[in-house]
Amino acid sequence: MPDNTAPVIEVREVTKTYPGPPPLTVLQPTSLKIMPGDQVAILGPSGSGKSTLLSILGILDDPTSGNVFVDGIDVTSLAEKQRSAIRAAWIGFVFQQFHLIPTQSAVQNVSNGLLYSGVTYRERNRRAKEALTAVGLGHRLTHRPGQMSGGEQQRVAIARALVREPAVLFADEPTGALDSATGEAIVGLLAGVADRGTAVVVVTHNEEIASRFRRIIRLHDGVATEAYRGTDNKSDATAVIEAAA
Amino acid sequence: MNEASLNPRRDDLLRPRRLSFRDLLGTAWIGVGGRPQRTALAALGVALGIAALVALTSASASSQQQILNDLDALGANLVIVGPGNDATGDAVFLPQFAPEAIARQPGVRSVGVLDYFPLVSGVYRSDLVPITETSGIHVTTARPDAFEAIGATLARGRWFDDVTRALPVTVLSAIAAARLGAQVGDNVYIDGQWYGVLGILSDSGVASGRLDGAAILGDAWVRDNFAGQHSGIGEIQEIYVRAEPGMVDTVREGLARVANPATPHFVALSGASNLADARALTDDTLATLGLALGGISLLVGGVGIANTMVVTVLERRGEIGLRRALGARPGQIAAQFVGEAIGISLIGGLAGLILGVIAAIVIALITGQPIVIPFAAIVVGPLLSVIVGAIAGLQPAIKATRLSPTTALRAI
Repeated sequence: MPDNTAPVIEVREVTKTYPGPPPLTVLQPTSLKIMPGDQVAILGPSGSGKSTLLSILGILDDPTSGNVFVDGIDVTSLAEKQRSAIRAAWIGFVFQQFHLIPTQSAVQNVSNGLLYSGVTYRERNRRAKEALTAVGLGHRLTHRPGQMSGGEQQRVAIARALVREPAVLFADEPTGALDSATGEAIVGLLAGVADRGTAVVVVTHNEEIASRFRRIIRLHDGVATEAYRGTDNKSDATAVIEAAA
Repeated sequence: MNEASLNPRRDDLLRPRRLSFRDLLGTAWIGVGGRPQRTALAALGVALGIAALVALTSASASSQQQILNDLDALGANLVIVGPGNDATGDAVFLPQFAPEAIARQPGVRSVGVLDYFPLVSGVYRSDLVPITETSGIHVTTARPDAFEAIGATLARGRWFDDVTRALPVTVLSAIAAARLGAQVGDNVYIDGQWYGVLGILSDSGVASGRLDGAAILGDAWVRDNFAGQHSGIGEIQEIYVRAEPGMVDTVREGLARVANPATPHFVALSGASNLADARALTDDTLATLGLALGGISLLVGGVGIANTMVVTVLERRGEIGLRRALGARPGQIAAQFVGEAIGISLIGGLAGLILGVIAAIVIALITGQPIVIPFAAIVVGPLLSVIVGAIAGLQPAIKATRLSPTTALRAI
């Protein structure tokens, strides 16, 4: 059994610089631990480097320097094949633009979440229906994305991320394409996910949304600082933020 | 949800998962079946390429067949077997089994026989015409099988068959009929006997030297009624041997021994060997032309597929990023897009085959050429479309795998 006190994802001194000319450093050296069941909001204006940090945390992108650990394993040096395997087994993503496949039904879209995890077709379907029901879309199983509202589409995307029971769920501006009332419901849904043991990391530029999460990490010009809220011992104890001057 | 399923074992975490072939087909099908209109347009490019391939190779094969048929009619596939002369200058007649033996040889398509008619006899419109007014018409003898082998055509009436070959009837050459002013059904007077006109030739094919200006009698009638009047009666004068396409040299090789095993060196062989050479040359040249035309049309179709696949990868960058985020390996993404390219190409290839065959038939009907659709084009067309599709899809597919998931996701 894995060590439950190990962070689900940890980054140490990661930076990101895009080659120039002139070279552009979008992330200053940053260290951060995400623990099981964490609720984290990464807050910052556009261009602050928050999407870059999310890509590195989600091992979609390599840091220019520094290391990324998943469940204690240094994944920085791993082959793409193994990084893909980790994404399939460990990490869920929700995007601002949903990224649903327009020609597939809700169930098919959600079952895509298990496509690369070695799960059989029948089992994928069964779990996809369960996941859709869990996000309140049990009545929309066969609808295509074009037949659903934005909020419903984002719920399908969340179900797709959750169907694989990931250790950590990343959401990149999940309410950016939704009206405020619908966005509010989505945020509630995401916050609730953490209560079931999955760490949730939301990237947003919206203070109000960020305030719904236990930990808030502010990014400004590639420099991260954590806002300690004091009420949650777990995040106080585990959060380590180092921002280079 | 429990802790165990949430946190896979550490070694399990790094274990790559297989994507089953069925699931791979499923992902490829999203691009093919998901948007029928785009697939139809993309497949159309391939279909036109393959249709051009099939139609052009068929059209050139039809032309080729037409030219070869014409050359064959001129005698390119013909060998004429006749009796040779021995040391004293006497004819060494061929044995009666010769035509049958030759017909059994591989590569022989048809065999026809003209018999000797050594008697000098005039042909007259009636018995009142003075015997000296022969109008330059002579008498000769043919067997029923000669008609096809010499490539003759009838203006009117019929040629000899197994019954009429033994009856007092004659087939007149076009010249003889004109000089006699005879029609089918009229009677003409030959050597003290009335003969009904059975048919009139319009063309006597490769035997025009023998048959033009002749009244032809059936071989069985001649043998039954003229036997004994001359030693040559009933003997074979010429055997016309038609070879299968391209087989004329092979057929000619063993022909003397087959025709007269006892004295093969007293067999006279003749035929238009220049024509045979010209035929072989034409055959090769036109076959090369067909291949060249096919290659060009395939290239056009292939560029069409490649173009479509490049656009597909560009417009589906979001989906590529998503799949990478879901844990798809680069190879699995590449396989999906190659599979999609193959699917589109296969649909296009089959549609193109149907279009091409229709076009080839229409072209042949309009130009009056024989309908020839090379079997190779039918098999190779769709097959090549799949190969070309795979190659055309490969570069965009590899490009898709090189796309960083972050970049791909940001694309939309």
